[in-house]
Amino acid sequence: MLLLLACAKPVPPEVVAEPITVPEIGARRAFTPPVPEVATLDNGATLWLVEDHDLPIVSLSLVVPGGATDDGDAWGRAALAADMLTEGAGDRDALTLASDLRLLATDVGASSTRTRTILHLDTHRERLEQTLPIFADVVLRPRFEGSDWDRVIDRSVNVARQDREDGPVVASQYGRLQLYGADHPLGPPTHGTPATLAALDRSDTQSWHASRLVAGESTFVVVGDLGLDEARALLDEHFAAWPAETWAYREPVLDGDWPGAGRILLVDLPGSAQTAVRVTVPGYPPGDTIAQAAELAGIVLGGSFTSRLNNLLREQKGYTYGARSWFSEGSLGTEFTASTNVRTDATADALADLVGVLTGDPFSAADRDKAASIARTDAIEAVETRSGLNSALQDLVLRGAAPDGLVTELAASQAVTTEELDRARQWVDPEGGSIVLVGDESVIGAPLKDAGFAYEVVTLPD
Amino acid sequence: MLLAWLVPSALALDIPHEHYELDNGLDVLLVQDHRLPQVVVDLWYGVGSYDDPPGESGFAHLFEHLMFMGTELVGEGEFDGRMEAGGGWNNASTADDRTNYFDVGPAELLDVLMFMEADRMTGLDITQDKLDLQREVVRNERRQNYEDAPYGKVWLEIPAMLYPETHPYHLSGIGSHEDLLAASLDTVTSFYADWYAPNNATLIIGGDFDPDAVKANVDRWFAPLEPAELREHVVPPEVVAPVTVEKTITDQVELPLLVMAWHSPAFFTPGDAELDILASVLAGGADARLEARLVNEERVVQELEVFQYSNRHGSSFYLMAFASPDADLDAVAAAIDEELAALASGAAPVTERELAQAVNGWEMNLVYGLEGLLDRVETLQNYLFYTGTADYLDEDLARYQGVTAESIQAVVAERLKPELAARLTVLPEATEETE
Repeated sequence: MLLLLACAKPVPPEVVAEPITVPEIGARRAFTPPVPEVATLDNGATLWLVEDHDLPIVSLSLVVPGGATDDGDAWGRAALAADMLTEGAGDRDALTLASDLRLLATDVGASSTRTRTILHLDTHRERLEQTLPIFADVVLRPRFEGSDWDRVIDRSVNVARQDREDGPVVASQYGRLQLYGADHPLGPPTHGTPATLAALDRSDTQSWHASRLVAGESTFVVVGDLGLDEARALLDEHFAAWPAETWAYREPVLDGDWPGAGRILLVDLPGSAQTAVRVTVPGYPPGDTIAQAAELAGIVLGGSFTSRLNNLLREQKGYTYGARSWFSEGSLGTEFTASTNVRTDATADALADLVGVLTGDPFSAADRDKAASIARTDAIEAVETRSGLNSALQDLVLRGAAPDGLVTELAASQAVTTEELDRARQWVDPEGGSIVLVGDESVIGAPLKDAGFAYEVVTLPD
Repeated sequence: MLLAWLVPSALALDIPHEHYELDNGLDVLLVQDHRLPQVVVDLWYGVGSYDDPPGESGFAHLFEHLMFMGTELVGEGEFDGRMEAGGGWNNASTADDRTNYFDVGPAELLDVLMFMEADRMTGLDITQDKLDLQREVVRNERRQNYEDAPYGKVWLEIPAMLYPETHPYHLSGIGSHEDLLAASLDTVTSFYADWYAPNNATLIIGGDFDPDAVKANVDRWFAPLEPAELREHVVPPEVVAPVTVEKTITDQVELPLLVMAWHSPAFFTPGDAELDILASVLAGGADARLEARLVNEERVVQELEVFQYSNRHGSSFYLMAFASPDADLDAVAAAIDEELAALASGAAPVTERELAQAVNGWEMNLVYGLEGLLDRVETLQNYLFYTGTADYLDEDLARYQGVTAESIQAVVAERLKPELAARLTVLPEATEETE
């Protein structure tokens, strides 16, 4: 249509009408991710900082060892401890803390991973001097008051109960438990279950937090309208009381025994209009040079709209609104995940197609080129906002990577070969991991069996 | 005392851009930003779910899906394929009033992005097979986001409670299965002809580009597109009272939910900013009025969400209380009514501190909105579409800074009366539905 419209206009005789075709992609422009400056604070903590004075914004985070792998049987303790940090600190009770932070238009929050607790502060540069003392209180002097604890526990238990009605959330939160087992560091749900949350003890949680939150192995990440000297001076001032000691943090030791490997596990959720499908496969050893090839393999299989999974399950078959896959890497291990929600009546066919994609055709040079281009765009977008760059740097800290990791990892991803891409494929085969289905067994059970998918029904822990 | 140390230097908010219009009616804005080698191509069309043909709910959104299914020049699958091969990505959304399409990618992909957007503006190649496929994708979207998602049914129920059947906002933009199944190729053709044309669109190009080269390509690819004789938007009478004042449904949920919704002033009209600020006063944090009372003190509510959902032909003010399992929902509603009555009567006006909290928060929202390229481009689109000028950032900030306790009181008294509320209750399944 564009061609016809263009040619319908009078063309001067000296102009030769050009063929209307999609233009070529132009020459690539240079991009190098930022590398943070690094300093050590008086209390022994590390500081990574990237200056950016275009807007009066500061994004600050603090990464501290200690997370869900410390929970033992008290699943959810690290997550609850993080939640409690903003429920009153120093001289401020929960409501006063919230009120003052809102007045300062400042966002302070905390969360936990399996191995770390992460706090963040996002504010206007001109309010930083007022907000840092409050942030220091949150880190060093949380109150853990009984009435707030009861309220937070109550809310968390209800959220955990609600999550059990949500197929994709069940598949995400309980999939690892089925694969790795309850005794494995990667197994238990990091946010606990209704029963484990209800059984948590306030003083035990407070003690755990106090014993873990020490400066020695912690890292501040700062991005924004602030220089290194200013940042160091402010953090030295407000975190002088933080003991420069460690609690001999050690990463948990993993074994390779995965009770869910090679199994299809079904959680019955009667009345579901869709079935949540999640494939989880333990991956390569953390830090392995195959990491960037694995990243690109995840993109080709399910990391973009034209990926093999989305193209087949959504665009060709109409089974789903979307399907995706990715490799993730933490300090404990790496994983491949494929995830989708498919029409209940198409579950067996969709699962067959999904497994077929994961075990199917080898990768091509075009696959490699596309995935490398997408990875480069992701790297550009990751540094666009202060909080985005802060997150990317936090990820390096969590993985124990070097401060120039954004640069070296981007370079490595652009140099991945098709052969390396295919080598990464060994970690996407569902046989090496588990498939979790959350859906209506009365509808999907028989077709699954007819299609040769021998599944086991599992129940969620209380 | 805190109030004194809060006010940063005067905020200088700006999104520098160049704005011109082609002879065919296409608005063009250029936003240069050379900090990163990336670009955004963003098109807004002046058509949304509001314009769904009668009896064909969900059609504007279904049509949005078809815009990715290929043209005579860029075959099926090539739009996304060419874009992703160069490291780009795209998405689109259908809102009540407008539909947007945005492409993001490295700077070297700009010509491809511009060409393909111009191409599909008038050159779409739709077949029955493509329609049938995307119909199923949209039905899956409905299942995932509205039917299986906890509380997702709220967004199917509330519009019908607020608006009469004759009003374009009466039905959710996702559409019913029945209407989606009935959508025909003929309607696709007429909808495309009626709404998709340069004189019903705004093109914004942002990022790392040479403006002369971009203007030349705008002339080359967009200027030849013919304008269309656009269909008139329906203009229904203003609605101030809900059609259904009370309804109870069940869902696969753990906590009961009480939703109260009122008709409220249209986007960017007087009262709209007041209700944004009021939402923060009521539930912007643990200390906010309703949150402090219902969540922290009385503990009858687990989570509270309050927001103004702004639209061109009338907005809605929502209050969603996710209650404790054994809470008395009538008592929760009564407490909400009591707080609103105290605001309306002036018995408990918004304090200086509450106002400062809310305005500071909105100011920072505007500052954070200047960080990302796509955010800046979308902000300009939003201003241009709803106010008629892209140069509205200062005015937007000013309308929040101009909100007073008295202006909030006035809008609460006029619009948030108990008798004007639609009340939807969602109960855990195994309870009876009523209307």
